[in-house]
Amino acid sequence: MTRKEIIVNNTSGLESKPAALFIQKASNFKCNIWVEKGERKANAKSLLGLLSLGVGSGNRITIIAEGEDESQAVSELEEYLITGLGE
Amino acid sequence: MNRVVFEGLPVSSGLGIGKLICLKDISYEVNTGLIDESEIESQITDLEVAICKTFIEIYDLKDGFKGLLSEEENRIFEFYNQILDDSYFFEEIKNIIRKEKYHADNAIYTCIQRYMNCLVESDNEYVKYRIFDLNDVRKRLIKNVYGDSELNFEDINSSHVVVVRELNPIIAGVLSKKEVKGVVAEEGAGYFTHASIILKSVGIPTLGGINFKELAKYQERDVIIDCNKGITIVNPNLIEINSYHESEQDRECIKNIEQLEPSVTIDGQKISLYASISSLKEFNIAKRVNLDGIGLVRTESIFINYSKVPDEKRQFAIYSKMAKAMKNKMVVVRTVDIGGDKVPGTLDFHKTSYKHISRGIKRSLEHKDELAMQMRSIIRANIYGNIGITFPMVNSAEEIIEVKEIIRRIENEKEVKNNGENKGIEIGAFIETISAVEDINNIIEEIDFINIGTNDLLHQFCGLNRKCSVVMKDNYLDPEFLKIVKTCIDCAKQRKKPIVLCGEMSSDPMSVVVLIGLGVNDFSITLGSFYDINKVIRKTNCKQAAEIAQKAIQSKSIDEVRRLLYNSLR
Repeated sequence: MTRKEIIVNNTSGLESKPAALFIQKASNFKCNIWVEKGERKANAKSLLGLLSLGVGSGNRITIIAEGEDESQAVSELEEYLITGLGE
Repeated sequence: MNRVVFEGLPVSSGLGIGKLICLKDISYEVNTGLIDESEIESQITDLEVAICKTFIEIYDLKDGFKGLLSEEENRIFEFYNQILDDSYFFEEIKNIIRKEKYHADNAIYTCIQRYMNCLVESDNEYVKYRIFDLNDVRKRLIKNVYGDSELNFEDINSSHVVVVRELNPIIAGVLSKKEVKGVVAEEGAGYFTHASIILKSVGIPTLGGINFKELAKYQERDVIIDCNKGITIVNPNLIEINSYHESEQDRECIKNIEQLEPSVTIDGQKISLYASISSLKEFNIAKRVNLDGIGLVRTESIFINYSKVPDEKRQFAIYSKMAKAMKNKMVVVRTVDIGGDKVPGTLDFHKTSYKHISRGIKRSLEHKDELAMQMRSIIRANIYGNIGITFPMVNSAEEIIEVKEIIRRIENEKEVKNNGENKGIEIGAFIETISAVEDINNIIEEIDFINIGTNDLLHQFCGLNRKCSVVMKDNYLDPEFLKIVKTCIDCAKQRKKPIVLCGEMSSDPMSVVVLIGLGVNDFSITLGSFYDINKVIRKTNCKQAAEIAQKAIQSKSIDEVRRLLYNSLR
């Protein structure tokens, strides 16, 4: 299992469009991926899951992946979040 | 019979009179008992069947709207599709059936309720409003578990004012197709929600925030819905009915060719009113109305309603048909504004980051063949009438220079040249990004007219200004936003280039007065608002409007502007 803590820095957080882009990205990987914020954890490949976390700008989240391509998934998703989700 | 008045929040403008009918709420009482281990598989099968049925239901609805709704409106279905496509979400429901031994209906109810409880806490307006969609999906799924029939849509026709407990885009779509007289909703009708946008675009009077249960008692009674006052009157008296019938007849003029009185202010200034349209259906209405032309043809629906980009022949046929039908009146065609490629439109609400996402003209310049084909079709159609071309989401003068180069090349092509006299097409630009406002001086030099796209501009403005809520109806009255608009107007006036105001702001009577005061003489508005805007113009005095505009710009807050307008215009 690979975990990585990240601060979401884009202006609208992981809501609406950025969330949809994020799940598209996450769905490319075979491993199971979750996003954790505080007490709550959601499947990173589920739009409703991500939206329900309510990740806003400046929030701290943890990406957790488990499966064959877990380390690649975490590093690419981290990269994607840091570069501002296509903004 | 008692006359009863209900107050609500107007979402669109206009008024309607008809018989009251309630849209039956899908009612369900979920089975709260627990199931046996042996029933798990059959409950899961029930769930899967319900998912399939719901998917087909949504798909059919979407299909039925083709050509009726614009591309943007059609995108409302994407959120539904994304939910129905979310295998993790359904796995969760299945797990509730397996582990908690719930019946399928209760599992759906419980699971979606958990998500709704989370979403309601969101600070993001867009996300918050998805609760209504989610609730609709829940009702549909549960209804399909029971195998029950659809809503009572078949009982509803164009003579009705419809009361809905919870309005959502799908209901709005069906009701707009049925051309009902009005819609009154308890929830889900907000100024910027998709459902409201749909009803507004077809000009159906809509009120939100009315007690469903109370109003539903008056089934089959005569009602008047008056969005100008924000009220619904049950059992109106004869005088009211007559006066409303009169204005209804005025309104019918729009549909029945008869002419609106000229849109001239009290002091004799002619204000040109153009129609903004996004489908051929709208065009067919617009061409019969006495208006000054088509100020904006959104071409997205032409592109989206075909599985691939329509070829030049097909596009030319559409544009030349419009040019011919409008005779010498101006028809301004905007090149296609699609973007972010696979980015779902419904999720594109906070438009704060356009600079980095290819959309509008920027995307078109990345797909030059497609752009050149569309431009050639438009330029060729110009021979049959008076066509102008304009470009969406312009960021800089360089982009205009680049498209002008393409235009010059097309105009010099043999088959275009041989096709009769070459008139030279008028070129415009949509000023709807902050970067365009910053580069306005250079852009103006390159074009023949500007369009101010107030919707996108406002969204960007709101994106930069956190205090600004996109859900508020009259944010475009924010003095800071008015200043931005004024900058563009002043610049265009200085160079003597026409300015056409587009977007929600130009269909809002109060804003129109301010805009006339700022010196705007051309408005491109939705068909549904012609009657009201014409009426406002005919009551406006330019000199007084200029004074109001001046005060509005100097105001310190939106509230101050609102008070000012309220006091000056009552």
